Amino acid sequence: MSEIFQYDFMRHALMAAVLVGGVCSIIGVYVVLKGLSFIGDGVAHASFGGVVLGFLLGINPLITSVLFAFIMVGLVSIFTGKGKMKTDPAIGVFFSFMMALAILFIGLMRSYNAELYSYLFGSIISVTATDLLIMLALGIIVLGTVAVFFKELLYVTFDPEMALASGIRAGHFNFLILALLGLTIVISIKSVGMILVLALIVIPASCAHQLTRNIKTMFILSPLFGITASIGGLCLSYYFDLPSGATIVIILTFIFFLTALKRVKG
Amino acid sequence: MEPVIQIKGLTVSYNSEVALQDINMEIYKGEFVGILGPNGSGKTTLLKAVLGLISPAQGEIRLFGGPVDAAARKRMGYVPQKGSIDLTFPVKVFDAVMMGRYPLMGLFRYPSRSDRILVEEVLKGVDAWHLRGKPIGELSGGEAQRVWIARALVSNPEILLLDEPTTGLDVMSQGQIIDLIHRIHEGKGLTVLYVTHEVNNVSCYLDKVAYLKKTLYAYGHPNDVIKVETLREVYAGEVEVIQGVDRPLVVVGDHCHV
Repeated sequence: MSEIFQYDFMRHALMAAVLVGGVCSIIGVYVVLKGLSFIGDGVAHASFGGVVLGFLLGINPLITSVLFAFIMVGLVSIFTGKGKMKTDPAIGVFFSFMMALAILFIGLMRSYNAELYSYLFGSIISVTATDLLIMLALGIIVLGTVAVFFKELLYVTFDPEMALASGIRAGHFNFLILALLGLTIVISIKSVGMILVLALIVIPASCAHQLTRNIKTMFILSPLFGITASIGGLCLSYYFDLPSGATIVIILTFIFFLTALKRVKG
Repeated sequence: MEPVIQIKGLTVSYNSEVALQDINMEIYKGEFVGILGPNGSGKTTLLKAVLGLISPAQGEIRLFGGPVDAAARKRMGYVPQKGSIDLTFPVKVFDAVMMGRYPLMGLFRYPSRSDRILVEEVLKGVDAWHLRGKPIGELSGGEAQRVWIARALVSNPEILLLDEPTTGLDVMSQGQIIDLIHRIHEGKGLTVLYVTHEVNNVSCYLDKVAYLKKTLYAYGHPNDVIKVETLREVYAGEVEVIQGVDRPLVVVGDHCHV
Protein backbone atom coordinates (compact mmCIF):
# COMPACT_ATOMS: atom_id res chain seq x y z
CA MET A 1 0.00 0.00 0.00
CA SER A 2 2.95 2.34 0.66
CA GLU A 3 3.82 2.47 -3.04
CA ILE A 4 0.81 4.67 -3.80
CA PHE A 5 2.33 7.44 -1.69
CA GLN A 6 5.49 7.67 -3.78
CA TYR A 7 3.70 10.28 -5.89
CA ASP A 8 3.62 13.89 -4.71
CA PHE A 9 -0.08 14.27 -5.51
CA MET A 10 -0.96 11.22 -3.42
CA ARG A 11 1.10 12.47 -0.47
CA HIS A 12 -0.70 15.81 -0.72
CA ALA A 13 -4.01 13.99 -0.99
CA LEU A 14 -3.23 11.94 2.10
CA MET A 15 -2.35 15.05 4.11
CA ALA A 16 -5.52 16.74 2.88
CA ALA A 17 -7.56 13.68 3.89
CA VAL A 18 -6.18 13.72 7.44
CA LEU A 19 -6.62 17.48 7.75
CA VAL A 20 -10.12 17.65 6.30
CA GLY A 21 -11.26 14.47 8.06
CA GLY A 22 -9.99 15.79 11.39
CA VAL A 23 -11.22 19.39 11.24
CA CYS A 24 -14.65 18.51 9.81
CA SER A 25 -15.33 15.84 12.39
CA ILE A 26 -14.36 18.07 15.35
CA ILE A 27 -16.61 20.92 14.20
CA GLY A 28 -19.19 18.25 13.37
CA VAL A 29 -19.68 17.55 17.09
CA TYR A 30 -21.03 21.09 17.57
CA VAL A 31 -23.05 20.87 14.35
CA VAL A 32 -24.73 17.61 15.41
CA LEU A 33 -25.40 18.66 19.02
CA LYS A 34 -26.63 22.14 18.12
CA GLY A 35 -28.59 21.03 15.03
CA LEU A 36 -26.72 23.18 12.51
CA SER A 37 -26.84 20.86 9.49
CA PHE A 38 -29.03 23.13 7.40
CA ILE A 39 -26.96 26.26 7.97
CA GLY A 40 -23.90 24.09 7.20
CA ASP A 41 -25.39 23.18 3.86
CA GLY A 42 -26.26 26.83 3.24
CA VAL A 43 -22.70 27.91 4.02
CA ALA A 44 -21.33 25.21 1.69
CA HIS A 45 -23.44 26.56 -1.18
CA ALA A 46 -22.44 30.12 -0.35
CA SER A 47 -18.73 29.18 -0.37
CA PHE A 48 -19.21 27.66 -3.79
CA GLY A 49 -20.60 31.00 -4.98
CA GLY A 50 -17.41 32.55 -3.61
CA VAL A 51 -15.27 30.01 -5.46
CA VAL A 52 -16.96 30.83 -8.78
CA LEU A 53 -16.52 34.55 -8.13
CA GLY A 54 -12.82 33.92 -7.47
CA PHE A 55 -12.45 32.23 -10.85
CA LEU A 56 -14.43 34.99 -12.53
CA LEU A 57 -12.25 37.74 -11.08
CA GLY A 58 -9.03 35.76 -11.34
CA ILE A 59 -8.25 35.76 -7.60
CA ASN A 60 -7.60 32.81 -5.30
CA PRO A 61 -11.03 31.17 -4.86
CA LEU A 62 -10.32 30.29 -1.22
CA ILE A 63 -10.28 34.01 -0.34
CA THR A 64 -13.62 34.73 -1.99
CA SER A 65 -15.17 31.57 -0.54
CA VAL A 66 -14.21 32.61 3.02
CA LEU A 67 -15.85 35.96 2.29
CA PHE A 68 -19.05 34.34 1.00
CA ALA A 69 -19.21 31.85 3.87
CA PHE A 70 -19.03 34.75 6.33
CA ILE A 71 -21.62 36.78 4.42
CA MET A 72 -24.00 33.80 4.63
CA VAL A 73 -23.40 33.35 8.38
CA GLY A 74 -23.72 37.10 8.90
CA LEU A 75 -26.98 37.42 6.96
CA VAL A 76 -28.61 34.53 8.82
CA SER A 77 -27.40 35.86 12.19
CA ILE A 78 -28.70 39.36 11.45
CA PHE A 79 -32.12 38.17 10.32
CA THR A 80 -32.61 35.68 13.17
CA GLY A 81 -31.19 37.90 15.94
CA LYS A 82 -33.47 38.68 18.90
CA GLY A 83 -36.13 36.30 17.59
CA LYS A 84 -36.92 38.46 14.57
CA MET A 85 -37.25 35.48 12.25
CA LYS A 86 -37.05 31.70 12.53
CA THR A 87 -33.70 30.22 11.57
CA ASP A 88 -35.03 27.68 9.09
CA PRO A 89 -36.66 30.08 6.59
CA ALA A 90 -33.80 32.57 7.00
CA ILE A 91 -31.34 29.89 5.89
CA GLY A 92 -33.73 28.88 3.10
CA VAL A 93 -33.84 32.43 1.73
CA PHE A 94 -30.09 33.07 1.71
CA PHE A 95 -29.15 29.51 0.72
CA SER A 96 -31.07 30.02 -2.53
CA PHE A 97 -29.74 33.55 -2.99
CA MET A 98 -26.14 32.37 -2.70
CA MET A 99 -26.72 29.51 -5.10
CA ALA A 100 -28.38 31.94 -7.53
CA LEU A 101 -25.26 34.12 -7.34
CA ALA A 102 -23.08 31.07 -8.09
CA ILE A 103 -25.17 30.23 -11.16
CA LEU A 104 -25.13 33.86 -12.26
CA PHE A 105 -21.31 33.99 -11.97
CA ILE A 106 -21.00 30.74 -13.96
CA GLY A 107 -23.20 32.35 -16.63
CA LEU A 108 -20.91 35.39 -16.71
CA MET A 109 -17.85 33.21 -17.32
CA ARG A 110 -17.81 32.99 -21.09
CA SER A 111 -15.55 29.94 -21.10
CA TYR A 112 -15.97 26.46 -19.65
CA ASN A 113 -13.89 25.92 -16.50
CA ALA A 114 -13.21 22.27 -15.66
CA GLU A 115 -11.61 23.13 -12.32
CA LEU A 116 -14.97 24.38 -11.02
CA TYR A 117 -16.17 20.80 -11.05
CA SER A 118 -13.56 19.79 -8.48
CA TYR A 119 -15.11 22.36 -6.09
CA LEU A 120 -18.56 21.00 -6.84
CA PHE A 121 -17.83 17.28 -6.53
CA GLY A 122 -14.46 17.31 -4.78
CA SER A 123 -11.11 16.18 -6.09
CA ILE A 124 -8.70 15.39 -3.31
CA ILE A 125 -5.89 14.38 -5.68
CA SER A 126 -5.87 17.83 -7.27
CA VAL A 127 -4.96 19.52 -3.95
CA THR A 128 -1.69 21.40 -4.48
CA ALA A 129 1.07 22.23 -2.01
CA THR A 130 -0.17 25.84 -1.87
CA ASP A 131 -3.73 24.66 -1.18
CA LEU A 132 -2.38 22.45 1.59
CA LEU A 133 -0.55 25.35 3.22
CA ILE A 134 -3.69 27.50 3.24
CA MET A 135 -5.76 24.56 4.49
CA LEU A 136 -3.23 23.86 7.25
CA ALA A 137 -3.17 27.50 8.36
CA LEU A 138 -6.98 27.69 8.48
CA GLY A 139 -7.14 24.27 10.18
CA ILE A 140 -4.79 25.46 12.93
CA ILE A 141 -6.97 28.56 13.40
CA VAL A 142 -10.12 26.44 13.70
CA LEU A 143 -8.72 23.79 16.05
CA GLY A 144 -6.77 26.39 18.07
CA THR A 145 -9.95 28.41 18.60
CA VAL A 146 -11.78 25.28 19.72
CA ALA A 147 -8.97 24.51 22.20
CA VAL A 148 -8.90 28.04 23.63
CA PHE A 149 -12.67 28.37 24.03
CA PHE A 150 -13.47 24.71 24.62
CA LYS A 151 -15.39 25.31 27.88
CA GLU A 152 -17.34 28.28 26.58
CA LEU A 153 -18.26 26.57 23.28
CA LEU A 154 -19.36 23.47 25.15
CA TYR A 155 -21.55 25.42 27.59
CA VAL A 156 -23.12 27.47 24.80
CA THR A 157 -23.81 24.31 22.78
CA PHE A 158 -25.42 22.54 25.73
CA ASP A 159 -27.45 25.31 27.31
CA PRO A 160 -27.08 28.76 25.69
CA GLU A 161 -29.55 30.49 27.99
CA MET A 162 -27.85 29.17 31.11
CA ALA A 163 -24.43 30.06 29.72
CA LEU A 164 -25.62 33.62 29.16
CA ALA A 165 -27.28 33.73 32.59
CA SER A 166 -24.02 32.77 34.26
CA GLY A 167 -21.94 35.44 32.60
CA ILE A 168 -20.73 33.89 29.30
CA ARG A 169 -21.28 36.00 26.17
CA ALA A 170 -23.45 33.38 24.51
CA GLY A 171 -24.29 35.45 21.41
CA HIS A 172 -20.61 35.94 20.57
CA PHE A 173 -19.87 32.24 20.99
CA ASN A 174 -22.88 31.17 18.92
CA PHE A 175 -21.54 33.34 16.13
CA LEU A 176 -18.04 31.93 16.67
CA ILE A 177 -19.33 28.37 16.15
CA LEU A 178 -20.90 29.42 12.82
CA ALA A 179 -17.70 31.22 11.79
CA LEU A 180 -15.65 28.09 12.57
CA LEU A 181 -18.15 26.04 10.58
CA GLY A 182 -17.67 28.44 7.66
CA LEU A 183 -13.86 28.14 7.78
CA THR A 184 -14.12 24.35 8.02
CA ILE A 185 -16.22 24.23 4.87
CA VAL A 186 -13.78 26.49 3.04
CA ILE A 187 -10.90 24.20 4.07
CA SER A 188 -12.75 21.14 2.78
CA ILE A 189 -14.56 22.31 -0.31
CA LYS A 190 -11.81 21.47 -2.82
CA SER A 191 -11.16 18.00 -1.38
CA VAL A 192 -14.71 16.71 -0.95
CA GLY A 193 -16.76 19.23 -2.89
CA MET A 194 -19.59 21.59 -2.01
CA ILE A 195 -22.24 18.90 -2.34
CA LEU A 196 -20.64 16.33 -0.05
CA VAL A 197 -18.81 18.46 2.53
CA LEU A 198 -21.76 18.40 4.94
CA ALA A 199 -21.50 14.60 5.10
CA LEU A 200 -17.93 14.79 6.32
CA ILE A 201 -19.03 17.23 9.02
CA VAL A 202 -22.23 15.54 10.16
CA ILE A 203 -21.65 11.77 9.76
CA PRO A 204 -18.54 11.19 11.95
CA ALA A 205 -20.08 13.10 14.87
CA SER A 206 -23.39 11.28 14.38
CA CYS A 207 -21.54 7.94 14.50
CA ALA A 208 -19.86 9.02 17.74
CA HIS A 209 -23.20 10.18 19.15
CA GLN A 210 -24.61 6.68 18.56
CA LEU A 211 -21.89 5.12 20.70
CA THR A 212 -21.49 7.44 23.67
CA ARG A 213 -23.30 9.75 26.05
CA ASN A 214 -20.01 11.35 27.07
CA ILE A 215 -19.07 14.52 25.20
CA LYS A 216 -15.33 13.99 25.70
CA THR A 217 -15.51 10.53 24.12
CA MET A 218 -17.41 12.10 21.21
CA PHE A 219 -14.51 14.46 20.56
CA ILE A 220 -12.19 11.42 20.31
CA LEU A 221 -14.43 9.04 18.34
CA SER A 222 -15.65 11.59 15.80
CA PRO A 223 -12.20 12.46 14.33
CA LEU A 224 -11.25 8.80 14.53
CA PHE A 225 -14.15 7.95 12.19
CA GLY A 226 -13.59 11.04 10.04
CA ILE A 227 -9.87 10.47 9.45
CA THR A 228 -10.19 6.68 8.99
CA ALA A 229 -12.92 7.10 6.38
CA SER A 230 -11.01 9.86 4.58
CA ILE A 231 -7.81 7.81 4.28
CA GLY A 232 -9.77 4.64 3.46
CA GLY A 233 -11.83 6.43 0.82
CA LEU A 234 -8.73 7.97 -0.73
CA CYS A 235 -6.99 4.57 -1.06
CA LEU A 236 -10.08 2.83 -2.43
CA SER A 237 -10.70 5.61 -4.94
CA TYR A 238 -7.07 5.29 -6.12
CA TYR A 239 -7.13 1.51 -6.59
CA PHE A 240 -10.56 1.30 -8.16
CA ASP A 241 -10.47 4.66 -9.94
CA LEU A 242 -13.53 6.03 -8.12
CA PRO A 243 -14.47 9.63 -7.26
CA SER A 244 -12.74 10.25 -3.91
CA GLY A 245 -15.36 12.46 -2.22
CA ALA A 246 -18.17 10.02 -2.93
CA THR A 247 -16.10 7.04 -1.79
CA ILE A 248 -15.28 8.74 1.53
CA VAL A 249 -18.94 9.60 2.16
CA ILE A 250 -20.11 6.07 1.31
CA ILE A 251 -17.58 4.59 3.77
CA LEU A 252 -18.76 7.05 6.43
CA THR A 253 -22.38 6.09 5.87
CA PHE A 254 -21.41 2.43 6.16
CA ILE A 255 -19.71 3.19 9.52
CA PHE A 256 -22.89 5.04 10.53
CA PHE A 257 -25.02 1.94 9.92
CA LEU A 258 -22.57 -0.17 11.95
CA THR A 259 -22.60 2.27 14.89
CA ALA A 260 -26.41 2.41 14.75
CA LEU A 261 -26.41 -1.30 15.61
CA LYS A 262 -24.49 -0.48 18.81
CA ARG A 263 -26.58 2.57 19.68
CA VAL A 264 -26.60 3.57 23.35
CA LYS A 265 -29.83 4.49 25.13
CA GLY A 266 -30.71 7.93 26.39
CA MET B 1 -29.39 48.78 53.88
CA GLU B 2 -29.19 48.69 50.10
CA PRO B 3 -31.30 46.01 48.38
CA VAL B 4 -29.39 43.28 46.44
CA ILE B 5 -32.07 43.40 43.76
CA GLN B 6 -33.80 46.67 43.03
CA ILE B 7 -36.52 46.75 40.38
CA LYS B 8 -37.74 50.22 39.44
CA GLY B 9 -40.66 50.81 37.08
CA LEU B 10 -39.87 47.66 35.09
CA THR B 11 -41.89 47.16 31.91
CA VAL B 12 -41.09 44.25 29.58
CA SER B 13 -42.80 43.52 26.29
CA TYR B 14 -42.51 40.80 23.68
CA ASN B 15 -42.98 42.45 20.31
CA SER B 16 -46.02 44.59 21.11
CA GLU B 17 -47.42 42.41 23.92
CA VAL B 18 -46.77 43.76 27.41
CA ALA B 19 -45.59 40.97 29.74
CA LEU B 20 -44.76 43.03 32.80
CA GLN B 21 -45.88 46.54 33.60
CA ASP B 22 -44.39 49.02 36.02
CA ILE B 23 -43.00 46.53 38.54
CA ASN B 24 -41.34 47.97 41.64
CA MET B 25 -39.68 45.57 44.07
CA GLU B 26 -36.81 45.65 46.51
CA ILE B 27 -35.24 42.42 47.64
CA TYR B 28 -32.76 42.43 50.49
CA LYS B 29 -29.83 40.17 51.23
CA GLY B 30 -30.86 36.82 52.67
CA GLU B 31 -34.55 37.08 51.82
CA PHE B 32 -36.49 34.07 50.57
CA VAL B 33 -39.04 35.50 48.13
CA GLY B 34 -41.82 33.51 46.51
CA ILE B 35 -43.15 34.75 43.17
CA LEU B 36 -46.67 33.58 42.44
CA GLY B 37 -49.35 34.15 39.85
CA PRO B 38 -51.35 32.34 37.18
CA ASN B 39 -49.85 31.01 33.92
CA GLY B 40 -48.62 33.76 31.65
CA SER B 41 -48.50 36.27 34.49
CA GLY B 42 -44.88 37.19 33.82
CA LYS B 43 -43.14 35.20 36.59
CA THR B 44 -40.50 33.68 34.31
CA THR B 45 -40.16 36.99 32.48
CA LEU B 46 -39.36 38.66 35.79
CA LEU B 47 -36.59 36.14 36.55
CA LYS B 48 -35.18 36.51 33.04
CA ALA B 49 -35.22 40.28 33.30
CA VAL B 50 -33.32 40.08 36.60
CA LEU B 51 -30.74 37.85 34.89
CA GLY B 52 -30.53 40.23 31.94
CA LEU B 53 -31.73 37.57 29.49
CA ILE B 54 -34.48 39.97 28.45
CA SER B 55 -33.97 43.71 28.30
CA PRO B 56 -36.58 46.01 29.81
CA ALA B 57 -38.68 48.25 27.57
CA GLN B 58 -38.81 50.73 30.42
CA GLY B 59 -37.49 51.00 33.94
CA GLU B 60 -34.38 49.62 35.47
CA ILE B 61 -33.00 46.70 37.45
CA ARG B 62 -29.99 47.07 39.71
CA LEU B 63 -28.09 44.12 41.15
CA PHE B 64 -25.77 44.55 44.12
CA GLY B 65 -26.14 48.31 43.59
CA GLY B 66 -24.83 48.10 40.01
CA PRO B 67 -26.04 47.31 36.50
CA VAL B 68 -27.14 43.87 35.21
CA ASP B 69 -23.90 42.79 33.52
CA ALA B 70 -21.69 39.71 33.15
CA ALA B 71 -19.96 40.45 36.46
CA ALA B 72 -23.31 40.56 38.30
CA ARG B 73 -24.48 37.38 36.56
CA LYS B 74 -21.45 35.52 37.87
CA ARG B 75 -22.78 36.21 41.39
CA MET B 76 -26.14 34.57 40.60
CA GLY B 77 -27.25 30.97 40.25
CA TYR B 78 -30.21 30.07 38.04
CA VAL B 79 -32.33 26.93 37.82
CA PRO B 80 -34.39 27.30 34.63
CA GLN B 81 -37.83 25.85 34.03
CA LYS B 82 -38.06 22.17 33.28
CA GLY B 83 -37.91 21.43 29.57
CA SER B 84 -35.42 24.17 28.75
CA ILE B 85 -32.49 21.77 29.03
CA ASP B 86 -31.63 19.29 26.24
CA LEU B 87 -31.58 15.97 28.10
CA THR B 88 -30.24 14.07 25.08
CA PHE B 89 -27.01 16.05 25.28
CA PRO B 90 -24.12 13.64 25.88
CA VAL B 91 -22.89 14.80 29.25
CA LYS B 92 -22.60 13.08 32.63
CA VAL B 93 -23.93 14.61 35.84
CA PHE B 94 -20.46 15.48 37.20
CA ASP B 95 -19.43 17.31 34.01
CA ALA B 96 -22.80 19.03 33.71
CA VAL B 97 -22.44 20.43 37.23
CA MET B 98 -18.84 21.40 36.49
CA MET B 99 -20.14 23.67 33.72
CA GLY B 100 -21.46 25.90 36.49
CA ARG B 101 -17.79 26.65 37.30
CA TYR B 102 -16.84 27.46 33.69
CA PRO B 103 -17.65 31.18 33.76
CA LEU B 104 -15.35 31.58 36.78
CA MET B 105 -12.35 29.83 35.20
CA GLY B 106 -10.06 31.73 32.85
CA LEU B 107 -9.49 31.01 29.18
CA PHE B 108 -7.43 27.88 28.51
CA ARG B 109 -8.03 26.76 32.12
CA TYR B 110 -9.33 23.29 32.71
CA PRO B 111 -11.09 22.28 35.92
CA SER B 112 -8.61 22.22 38.79
CA ARG B 113 -8.55 20.01 41.87
CA SER B 114 -10.38 22.66 43.87
CA ASP B 115 -13.09 22.86 41.19
CA ARG B 116 -13.53 19.10 41.42
CA ILE B 117 -13.71 19.18 45.20
CA LEU B 118 -16.33 21.90 45.00
CA VAL B 119 -18.46 19.89 42.57
CA GLU B 120 -18.18 16.89 44.90
CA GLU B 121 -19.22 18.94 47.94
CA VAL B 122 -22.18 20.49 46.16
CA LEU B 123 -23.36 17.16 44.71
CA LYS B 124 -23.15 15.59 48.18
CA GLY B 125 -25.02 18.59 49.59
CA VAL B 126 -27.99 17.99 47.27
CA ASP B 127 -27.78 14.22 47.82
CA ALA B 128 -26.83 13.52 44.20
CA TRP B 129 -23.20 12.38 44.50
CA HIS B 130 -24.19 8.81 43.65
CA LEU B 131 -25.54 10.10 40.30
CA ARG B 132 -22.22 11.68 39.23
CA GLY B 133 -21.46 9.11 36.49
CA LYS B 134 -24.97 9.00 34.99
CA PRO B 135 -25.82 10.62 31.64
CA ILE B 136 -28.27 13.46 32.33
CA GLY B 137 -30.88 11.78 30.12
CA GLU B 138 -31.20 8.90 32.59
CA LEU B 139 -32.21 10.99 35.60
CA SER B 140 -35.68 11.02 37.14
CA GLY B 141 -37.48 14.35 37.46
CA GLY B 142 -36.50 14.87 41.10
CA GLU B 143 -32.89 13.78 40.50
CA ALA B 144 -32.57 16.14 37.54
CA GLN B 145 -33.81 19.09 39.62
CA ARG B 146 -31.25 18.34 42.35
CA VAL B 147 -28.52 18.24 39.70
CA TRP B 148 -29.58 21.61 38.21
CA ILE B 149 -29.71 23.11 41.69
CA ALA B 150 -26.17 21.78 42.21
CA ARG B 151 -25.06 23.39 38.94
CA ALA B 152 -26.50 26.70 40.09
CA LEU B 153 -24.80 26.44 43.49
CA VAL B 154 -21.36 25.38 42.32
CA SER B 155 -20.41 28.93 41.36
CA ASN B 156 -21.03 30.01 45.00
CA PRO B 157 -23.75 32.50 44.06
CA GLU B 158 -25.15 35.16 46.37
CA ILE B 159 -28.58 35.06 44.74
CA LEU B 160 -30.37 31.89 43.68
CA LEU B 161 -33.23 32.09 41.16
CA LEU B 162 -35.46 29.05 40.70
CA ASP B 163 -38.20 28.75 38.06
CA GLU B 164 -40.86 26.25 39.15
CA PRO B 165 -38.39 23.64 40.41
CA THR B 166 -41.17 21.39 41.73
CA THR B 167 -43.50 21.41 38.72
CA GLY B 168 -44.23 17.94 37.43
CA LEU B 169 -42.73 16.15 40.44
CA ASP B 170 -44.62 13.79 42.74
CA VAL B 171 -45.52 15.07 46.20
CA MET B 172 -42.58 13.31 47.90
CA SER B 173 -40.02 14.75 45.49
CA GLN B 174 -41.63 18.19 45.75
CA GLY B 175 -41.18 18.07 49.52
CA GLN B 176 -37.53 17.02 49.15
CA ILE B 177 -36.76 19.86 46.73
CA ILE B 178 -38.45 22.46 48.96
CA ASP B 179 -36.62 21.16 52.04
CA LEU B 180 -33.37 21.29 50.08
CA ILE B 181 -33.94 24.90 48.98
CA HIS B 182 -34.89 25.84 52.56
CA ARG B 183 -31.68 24.19 53.85
CA ILE B 184 -29.57 26.03 51.27
CA HIS B 185 -31.25 29.32 52.12
CA GLU B 186 -30.70 28.87 55.86
CA GLY B 187 -27.24 27.34 55.59
CA LYS B 188 -25.64 29.75 53.15
CA GLY B 189 -27.70 32.85 53.87
CA LEU B 190 -28.52 33.07 50.16
CA THR B 191 -31.06 35.44 48.70
CA VAL B 192 -33.61 33.21 46.95
CA LEU B 193 -36.17 34.10 44.28
CA TYR B 194 -38.54 31.20 43.93
CA VAL B 195 -41.16 31.06 41.18
CA THR B 196 -43.94 28.58 41.91
CA HIS B 197 -47.61 27.77 41.47
CA GLU B 198 -47.95 26.01 44.80
CA VAL B 199 -47.76 28.35 47.76
CA ASN B 200 -48.96 26.19 50.69
CA ASN B 201 -46.00 23.82 50.87
CA VAL B 202 -43.47 26.63 50.89
CA SER B 203 -45.15 29.65 52.52
CA CYS B 204 -43.90 28.74 56.01
CA TYR B 205 -40.32 29.33 54.75
CA LEU B 206 -40.97 32.48 52.74
CA ASP B 207 -40.03 35.92 54.00
CA LYS B 208 -42.02 37.61 51.28
CA VAL B 209 -44.55 36.72 48.63
CA ALA B 210 -45.11 38.57 45.37
CA TYR B 211 -48.36 38.12 43.46
CA LEU B 212 -47.91 38.91 39.81
CA LYS B 213 -50.30 39.24 36.93
CA LYS B 214 -48.61 41.57 34.50
CA THR B 215 -48.47 44.08 37.33
CA LEU B 216 -47.46 43.48 40.92
CA TYR B 217 -50.73 42.96 42.85
CA ALA B 218 -49.23 42.44 46.28
CA TYR B 219 -45.79 42.14 47.83
CA GLY B 220 -45.02 41.50 51.46
CA HIS B 221 -45.01 38.97 54.29
CA PRO B 222 -47.14 35.87 53.52
CA ASN B 223 -49.53 36.60 56.40
CA ASP B 224 -50.17 40.10 55.08
CA VAL B 225 -50.35 39.22 51.40
CA ILE B 226 -52.21 35.92 51.24
CA LYS B 227 -55.69 37.44 51.47
CA VAL B 228 -58.80 36.25 49.74
CA GLU B 229 -59.50 39.64 48.08
CA THR B 230 -56.00 39.83 46.55
CA LEU B 231 -56.04 36.25 45.33
CA ARG B 232 -59.50 36.52 43.77
CA GLU B 233 -58.26 39.50 41.81
CA VAL B 234 -55.08 37.74 40.66
CA TYR B 235 -56.65 34.41 39.80
CA ALA B 236 -59.95 35.95 38.64
CA GLY B 237 -62.02 33.23 40.20
CA GLU B 238 -62.55 30.56 42.75
CA VAL B 239 -60.03 31.06 45.50
CA GLU B 240 -60.49 30.51 49.20
CA VAL B 241 -58.06 31.30 51.98
CA ILE B 242 -58.35 29.09 55.05
CA GLN B 243 -56.59 30.04 58.26
CA GLY B 244 -54.19 27.19 59.10
CA VAL B 245 -52.55 26.65 62.49
CA ASP B 246 -49.73 29.14 61.90
CA ARG B 247 -50.40 30.60 58.47
CA PRO B 248 -53.05 31.10 55.80
CA LEU B 249 -53.61 28.27 53.31
CA VAL B 250 -54.77 28.85 49.75
CA VAL B 251 -57.34 26.70 47.98
CA VAL B 252 -57.52 27.50 44.27
CA GLY B 253 -60.33 26.29 42.03
CA ASP B 254 -62.22 24.20 44.59
CA HIS B 255 -64.83 23.09 42.07
CA CYS B 256 -66.57 20.75 44.49
CA HIS B 257 -68.06 23.72 46.34
CA VAL B 258 -68.94 25.94 43.43
